[in-house]
Amino acid sequence: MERVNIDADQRNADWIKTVSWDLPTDKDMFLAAIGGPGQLEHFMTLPAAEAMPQALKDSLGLHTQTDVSPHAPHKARLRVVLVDGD
Amino acid sequence: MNNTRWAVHPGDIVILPARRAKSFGDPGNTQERVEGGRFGSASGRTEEGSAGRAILSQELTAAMERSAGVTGEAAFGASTEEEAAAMKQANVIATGNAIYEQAKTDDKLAAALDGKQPYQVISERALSTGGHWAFDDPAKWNGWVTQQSAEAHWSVVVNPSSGLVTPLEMPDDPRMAAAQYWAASLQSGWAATSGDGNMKAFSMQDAATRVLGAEPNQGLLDSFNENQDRIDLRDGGTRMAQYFGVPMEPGTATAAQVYDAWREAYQPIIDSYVQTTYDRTQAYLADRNITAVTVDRGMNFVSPEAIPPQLADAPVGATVATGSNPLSSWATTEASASRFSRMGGGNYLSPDLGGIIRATFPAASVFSVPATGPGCLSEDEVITIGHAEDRSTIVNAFGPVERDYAAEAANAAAYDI
Repeated sequence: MERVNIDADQRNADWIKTVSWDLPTDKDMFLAAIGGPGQLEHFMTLPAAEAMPQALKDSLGLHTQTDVSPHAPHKARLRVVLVDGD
Repeated sequence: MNNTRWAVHPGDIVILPARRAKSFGDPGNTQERVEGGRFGSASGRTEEGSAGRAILSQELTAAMERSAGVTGEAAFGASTEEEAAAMKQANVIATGNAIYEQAKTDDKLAAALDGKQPYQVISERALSTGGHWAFDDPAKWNGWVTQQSAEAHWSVVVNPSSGLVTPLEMPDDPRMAAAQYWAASLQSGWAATSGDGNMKAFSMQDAATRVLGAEPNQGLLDSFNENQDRIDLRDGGTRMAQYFGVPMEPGTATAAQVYDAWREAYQPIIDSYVQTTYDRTQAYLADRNITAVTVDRGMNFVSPEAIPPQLADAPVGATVATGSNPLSSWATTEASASRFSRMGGGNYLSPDLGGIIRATFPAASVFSVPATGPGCLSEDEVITIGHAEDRSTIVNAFGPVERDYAAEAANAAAYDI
């Protein structure tokens, strides 16, 4: 029986981190937890960033762009971008 | 080790020589693992697994004071966050103290704890810059770290929200402080990533193969090696290079050197953390007479072609052989798995292409639950130890499905996604 690697890609490996935020919600504490402000840009590429609370995004100077798919207009695909992050 | 320190600043261009491939440690004897019955099963021990799942779910649900029959963030109010924070802090202190106790009879571990620690390094820099945090740009960093650092040597990394102990509770004994720091750092690190070239995450996964006999995952290894070039820009890699005296001048530095130096200094601590977390988890499960746990796993893919054929073609109820990282995330509730598999987690990525698998793991193959170590409380996370013999059952078929878009939109609105 050929095996399936369920952690073959980072998003599936970190699937549960995309669902709920399990890091600090306070800006400074969050930055400390990820290793400092210089790590923010990379962190936002991680699956865990998908679950970041909006209030924290706001305090970090991030904002969310909304793209509406023509194939599923009832849903918005969210994309977080750095506005003035370092 | 060359102790010459080189000044490298954010934005500096550092040319990295060819990467060196990392390897996992000895995974142990496969036959011993089979005979020990530690692998996940698609059909065996399901009665025990269901009982364990029920007990764990009840325990975690009680901790969260979650409303019966309600799922999603709407049910996870402030009480959840407070409960989770309290649980994290309790884990940090208990696990840190266990590491501290182990160091009394483990010279290598004691030496690692007594050696230079990241928070000391940070503290020294903070003090040397007049009390300002000096990660990258002091002007951009004005948090509580700055306020604390001049007075309290240990407080610079204190972070109650992510599981670190509070300043007032920081132990006077530097070795105990180091043990608690690492327990906190590794616990919160798991919440950020389980891999992705991250040194802490990879070291934990690596330790699981050597300390707990988990199966190495070549995919994780490849990912780590592919990401090595970026270590110097992440996870404090540049700082680490300076503090460990790894030359970072153009043409001489390698991220692998940073990782090697980091691992040389700290691996005994990582190993101890993995072992003590596992021991605490085993005691927790035994106290509740949990001998096996049935857990669910949501999966999601970006295109139909990306779905592995073993999953794409398999009906509900089919058994599949599954490989995973040495430490892998599952949940005791199907609702958690469904939020990723069908809704695509936080960004609706390919919501039509997910599925759910289920497996029953013996208690011996459970590394951590939120009450004992890493793991997300609000998602009933269970971190398992992967083995080559693991099997799962498909409980929600993969691929395009008939959708109730109106219901999902309402559900999504409830989650405020």
